[in-house]
Amino acid sequence: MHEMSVIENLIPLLKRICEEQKAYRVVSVQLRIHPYSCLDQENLNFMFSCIAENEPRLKDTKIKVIRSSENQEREYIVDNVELEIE
Amino acid sequence: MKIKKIEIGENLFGKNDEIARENSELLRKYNILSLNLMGSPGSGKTSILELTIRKLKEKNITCGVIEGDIAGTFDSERISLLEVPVVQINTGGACHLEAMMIKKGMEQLTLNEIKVLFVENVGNLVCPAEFKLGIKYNVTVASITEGEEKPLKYPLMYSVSQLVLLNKIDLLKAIDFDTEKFYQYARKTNPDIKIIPVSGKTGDNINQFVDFIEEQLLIQ
Repeated sequence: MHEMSVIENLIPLLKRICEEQKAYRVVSVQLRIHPYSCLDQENLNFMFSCIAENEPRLKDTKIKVIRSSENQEREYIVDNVELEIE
Repeated sequence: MKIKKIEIGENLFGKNDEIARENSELLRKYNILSLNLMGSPGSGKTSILELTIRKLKEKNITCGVIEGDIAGTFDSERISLLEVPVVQINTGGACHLEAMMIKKGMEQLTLNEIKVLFVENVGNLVCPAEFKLGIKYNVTVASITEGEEKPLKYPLMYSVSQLVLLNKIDLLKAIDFDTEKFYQYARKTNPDIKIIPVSGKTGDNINQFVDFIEEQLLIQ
């Protein structure tokens, strides 16, 4: 399912933010999705943990998924990230 | 350890959506009408395409097809028998087409020789509706064998589609299908959705789909 597409796009984005902010790691990321999305949180967490296993800055990142009816454009919005910076 | 929270506000699929916009502009540049057929595996997308393309060819309306499947070339082989340009995209695992795949598909077509581009998406009632491709019309192919409640069970598919082709009406006598409820449920999910009951086997009402295509060609 499209958890894979989410992760393929999320990992480069998180790595980029880490670089820009000179962060040690991403503690958490909040993803806001539309109400009809069939994204499964459990599958997402599991797949992310497998794929990010060898990414030191991402391997313990928590993904919070929020469903919002304000999101009318079928978009998956990265609302915010929490970074460990020192 | 210090934690810093940063507001981002980025669309995770921004790159896909940007490529979708580029696809849309390219199709507009060549004045090509485009339709993205979505639906369950076995709903009859390819059969409907075969009949539709035959009728469009009779009217000298040139067609091109981008076929999306996880694996195999069955559908593109069927379409190629109609002697229209067809590109097979194998996603290798992804259950949906994305904008980059359409971009690459269009690169293999001679766009100035095509009036109507059909995309046959991967058979799936869920994920294809999530991804913008830059194709003008989303068409859901529903089959009466799936049951009348599908518009309520898969609201995203129906909410992003402008047209539903309700297929396999030749089987209505054999299947318990409540057509009125299907229409009600589809319009509850998407009040503006147009519904054409068809048969990809007998050809019933395919001419209505062809009429829809011709009307869109006139107004674009």
